Amino acid sequence: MKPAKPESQLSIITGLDKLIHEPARMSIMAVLYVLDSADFIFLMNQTGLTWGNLSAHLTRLESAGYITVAKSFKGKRPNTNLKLSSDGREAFTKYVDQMKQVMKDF
Amino acid sequence: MRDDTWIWLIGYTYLSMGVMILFILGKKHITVPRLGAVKFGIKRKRRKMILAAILSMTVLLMTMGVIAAPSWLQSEVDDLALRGLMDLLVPLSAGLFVTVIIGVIAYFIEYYRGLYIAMLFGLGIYIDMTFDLPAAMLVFGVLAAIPGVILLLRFIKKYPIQSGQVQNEAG
Repeated sequence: MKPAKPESQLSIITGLDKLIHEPARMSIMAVLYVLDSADFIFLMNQTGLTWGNLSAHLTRLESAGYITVAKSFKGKRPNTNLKLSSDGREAFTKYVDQMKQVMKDF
Repeated sequence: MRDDTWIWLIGYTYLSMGVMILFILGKKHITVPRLGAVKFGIKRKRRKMILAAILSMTVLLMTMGVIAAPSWLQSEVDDLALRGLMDLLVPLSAGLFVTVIIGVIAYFIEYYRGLYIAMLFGLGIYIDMTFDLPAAMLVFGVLAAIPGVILLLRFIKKYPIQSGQVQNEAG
């Protein structure tokens, strides 16, 4: 029988950022991580989320300070531009490192 | 160089400008409302700019070479037998030059349909120069555009313009 993982290693899993550790929000964060900014339609197409679903997740991420939402007008039409904040970038980098560590320990 | 070469060059330039305007309008009215707008990171932008600069210089030098080489070679070569060989080699080289340039650009920007366009344009230039038939370029241009039009129609069908709610949110 394999020895149980030390508590410190397992604590990485329990210490994962739960706000990011959700498939829809993770995909939003991953898309924004590799970009400078994107608009609402682009995110909808990339993540495959519906308008309402994406909107709800974005609100949560914005409340946590992980993304910045800039609303403007392009001609007569409103445009919502989304960008990962420095806190969000840092949190996502930390999350990715933790996940890598978890996978490595398996 | 043919007497009417400059007329064709000016025509092609205007045509290229028209196509560029068409691309810009297409992006604004067809692509962005369907796929949304995105800005890439500084790293990618810088890499793209360096690539664009290198490719622009290459295209400029090659184009100048292709335009200048035939007349220069014809004037240098007096021997009739050699001239016959040149008549065969110059169009072939020009066609290959264009094929390679467009092919390299297509490869770097990961636009693999560009390889098909490169071959058509190379062939067009070869036929144009060999048989003195500038209209061949137009024919090959149309052949190059057909798959593009089909893909555009498929794209429009696959990505309809978003509903009013999303349009209001994201524009």
